[in-house]
Amino acid sequence: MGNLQTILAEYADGLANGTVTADDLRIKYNIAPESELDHLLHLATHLEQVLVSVAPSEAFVAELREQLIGGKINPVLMRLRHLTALQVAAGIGAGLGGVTVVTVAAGLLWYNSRHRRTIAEQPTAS
Amino acid sequence: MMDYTTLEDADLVRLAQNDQDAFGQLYERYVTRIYNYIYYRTGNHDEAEDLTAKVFMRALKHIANYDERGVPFSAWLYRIAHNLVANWHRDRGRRKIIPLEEFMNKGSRADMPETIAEEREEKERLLQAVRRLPADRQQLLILKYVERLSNAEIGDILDKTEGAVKSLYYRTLAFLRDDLTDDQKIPKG
Repeated sequence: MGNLQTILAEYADGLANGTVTADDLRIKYNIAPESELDHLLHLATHLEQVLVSVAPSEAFVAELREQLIGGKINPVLMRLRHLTALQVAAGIGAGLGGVTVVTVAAGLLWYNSRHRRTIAEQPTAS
Repeated sequence: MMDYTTLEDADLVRLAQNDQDAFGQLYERYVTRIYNYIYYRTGNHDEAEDLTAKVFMRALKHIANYDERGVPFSAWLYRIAHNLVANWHRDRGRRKIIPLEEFMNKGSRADMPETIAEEREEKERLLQAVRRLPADRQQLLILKYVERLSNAEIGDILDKTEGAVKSLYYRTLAFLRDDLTDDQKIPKG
């Protein structure tokens, strides 16, 4: 089993670097067809094809960055979309010690912009 | 003006406690990684954005209290993300399968060539099987395949030794294989 783990780890590292294929390892270690290791190598190859990096939309990344360090929003008010208007009004004065106080409008803009986002702005594979 | 791009995470964390631009650099480094992790754990674009935002909001809020002590900043972020995703699943009772409708190509199956439709279904079956895994094993696969992290780096995040990660990886693959080959859902080829 230790050898299985080592070979699988070698294949995973090789996939990440693009330096080895499953067939390379089958030859190197004389892996029998239909053996457990052969099946696991096939599965690892399949996973590598399916689990690909997906980039978030540029608009989201830029918007969140602005919210975080642009000084325009209080992190507490990021929960605006889950609060009633009365709760929002009551919460405005609380804030966090040392954190810039934000406006309700900024929070509602975040809420509205996220829900207006269309299917066209889906994340693209990277 | 300081060039934050050349600084190590630990230095940026120290600066970020009084300098928002330093936190911005940390954000730029990790936003896609955190988004990817959450996207695969939830299977939903909007939820991934919401939870990613919450991760960084929480990190910003608690950055002053963060103390490395052997836990890299990236590991700290992933743990925040892991906890938020766990809460999300619990709150919504979503331990069942979530189809990745957004991930797969649009269009009805009837319009697709058969091979493409079959490949799409096979991918979805595999993704569903991944999502049936316990959270730590899902996280392992996402960190290994999507983020291309080494076993040592994964170990830092999961708080496991490199050997333990290697063993967990093997057991995870074996578990997936058993789950998928019950109905011979993965054709050999």
